[in-house]
Amino acid sequence: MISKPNLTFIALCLFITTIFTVMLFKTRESIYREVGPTTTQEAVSYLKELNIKKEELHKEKESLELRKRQLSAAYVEKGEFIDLVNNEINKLEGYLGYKRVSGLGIKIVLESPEGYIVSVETILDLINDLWSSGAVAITINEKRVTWETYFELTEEDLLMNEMEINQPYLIEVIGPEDVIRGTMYMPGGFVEKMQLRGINVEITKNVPLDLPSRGD
Amino acid sequence: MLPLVFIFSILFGVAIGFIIPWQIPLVLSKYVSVAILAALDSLIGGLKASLDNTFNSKIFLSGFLLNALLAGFFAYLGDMLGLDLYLAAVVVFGTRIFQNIAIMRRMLLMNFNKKKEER
Repeated sequence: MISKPNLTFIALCLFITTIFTVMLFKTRESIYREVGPTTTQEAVSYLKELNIKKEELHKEKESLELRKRQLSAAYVEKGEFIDLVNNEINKLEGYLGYKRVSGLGIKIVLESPEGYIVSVETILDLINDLWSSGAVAITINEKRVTWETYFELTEEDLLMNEMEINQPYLIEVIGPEDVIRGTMYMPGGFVEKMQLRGINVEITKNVPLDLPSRGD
Repeated sequence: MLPLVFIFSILFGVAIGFIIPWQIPLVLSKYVSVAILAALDSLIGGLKASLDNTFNSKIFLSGFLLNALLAGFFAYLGDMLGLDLYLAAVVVFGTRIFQNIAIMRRMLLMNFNKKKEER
């Protein structure tokens, strides 16, 4: 039999050897985990796992691409919507006369040779025709016409927002020039009516205009 | 008693080995594995000597430490020389381990048989 002191020595050495073996095992095990399969059988199962993972990743990729397309479509729609709203706001601000408006436009000069005052109805007809032709901004004698502009005819004067406007009436319009000009010259239109009343109408196209806001 | 002590040594060794956060550096793993083989050879040799009643603690400890260190060093030297010297250590220590185990087995069986005949 083995004596006690011998046993202690051997057990102690075995204990130390085991510690080193486990430390070595930890090192090697981490390598095996990183390196992957080392036998054909392991390689086959590893390949199967990889294929499954590949399919999962492929599906995930497809779903992500779909999501990306949906999001980008939504983003484009949102962008278009914002542009549309901004355009509408600009248009409404133009109609309301909040902003100065610049661009090419039409200049209309109304003048009665005998010095008659043009009636309020004539001016309103003209303004309505211009709005319906797509005018963005209108001024009469450099005063902006808006939704709250009103006209009044006294015995001697034509008043616009209680301010006198005198002949010749200079009407400047920014908008689709050809449409506006066509509306003016159409048979039975504004120009023809004015000619019948003996009022001269002079229309000039492609005039660079800078129309003031209603506060200017 | 004998197996229990060894089993506890192994269990404690495994537990402590897993508890401590250190690992053998990867570059040294090959040399340490050869050193462990040499240490195992010394352990088996020590057991055989104990059964033979020829155990000497000084010889055992010096053999345990020196064999392990030398085996590791030779494996390193072999790497430096481009020669797989560790294979020589594996063959030698492996053969000795099997031989010592075979001798121990015979001795234990003979003791067992002797005790059986005495009864």
